[in-house]
Amino acid sequence: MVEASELRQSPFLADIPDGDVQRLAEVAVLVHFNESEVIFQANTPAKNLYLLKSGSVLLSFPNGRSLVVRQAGQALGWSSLVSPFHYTATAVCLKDSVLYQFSNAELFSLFRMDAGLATRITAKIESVIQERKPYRMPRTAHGEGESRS
Amino acid sequence: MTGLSAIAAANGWFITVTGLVIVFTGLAVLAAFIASLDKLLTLWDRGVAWLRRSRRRESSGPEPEDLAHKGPVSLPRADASARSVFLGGETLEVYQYLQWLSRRQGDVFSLSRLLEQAEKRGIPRPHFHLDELLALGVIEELPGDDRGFYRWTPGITVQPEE
Repeated sequence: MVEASELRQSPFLADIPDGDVQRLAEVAVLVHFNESEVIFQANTPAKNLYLLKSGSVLLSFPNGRSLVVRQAGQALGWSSLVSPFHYTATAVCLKDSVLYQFSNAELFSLFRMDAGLATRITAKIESVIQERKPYRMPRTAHGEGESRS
Repeated sequence: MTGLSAIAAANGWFITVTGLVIVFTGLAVLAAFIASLDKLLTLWDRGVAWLRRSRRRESSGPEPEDLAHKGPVSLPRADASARSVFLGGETLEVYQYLQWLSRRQGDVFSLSRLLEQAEKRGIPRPHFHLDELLALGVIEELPGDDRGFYRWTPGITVQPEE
């Protein structure tokens, strides 16, 4: 569990009501990862959603594209809330990083109790999915022509 | 003879104390070993990593130091927004090495593959230095359909920090 006031500062939860943040804080765990440590691997079962507190994380997609996540509050591991619950990218820390970890089982329990919270979090996740869609696209002809090994 | 006098006569007290000392010493040694296990494992990991690095360096590519000794490098691509970036010792070495590695992929490269290759060649702290190069704008992400792929930012001159 983390302090609700601490979690409140995450931009991801900026427009989420205090009561919801309190419930999320009760199931959140603060986790620390060292530089070069892998948080999760692509194509493995997605069990946790993460919100970046500090640090820098590289999301690498199997098609060779990558995205650097270093802004506090950005979400990682949305696949934990979306079928088929397999991570679509590998997350590796570029430097020592601290994240809030939410077990999807705990989140789904909260969602069952509070449909409003489910709707609000799902909307947030949906925007993250859309934002990262270009990174999941297959390589273009330009990319194919290069000698990426 | 029975009772306490029998115990004393057969060195019972001495044996009891010796037994206690042996057991508690054993437990103390075990506790100290477990307490320092993380340090021992870290040392072990460092040893293994050092061995791997030295093996890889024997078989592949120039040394980061060799590349760093070539001095400041002006990136070949011309651009109006020319600027200088100053890098410290190890970052400069890693920068030189990463440039050399990225050339194998072409002008546009994948960060994950670059990191993979850097790790294979035992480059020191490639993740940290890559993050630094990205934060400084030495490496930039491509727009449009090439989003998620990167290149060395045109017009940037990298110089050693004084």
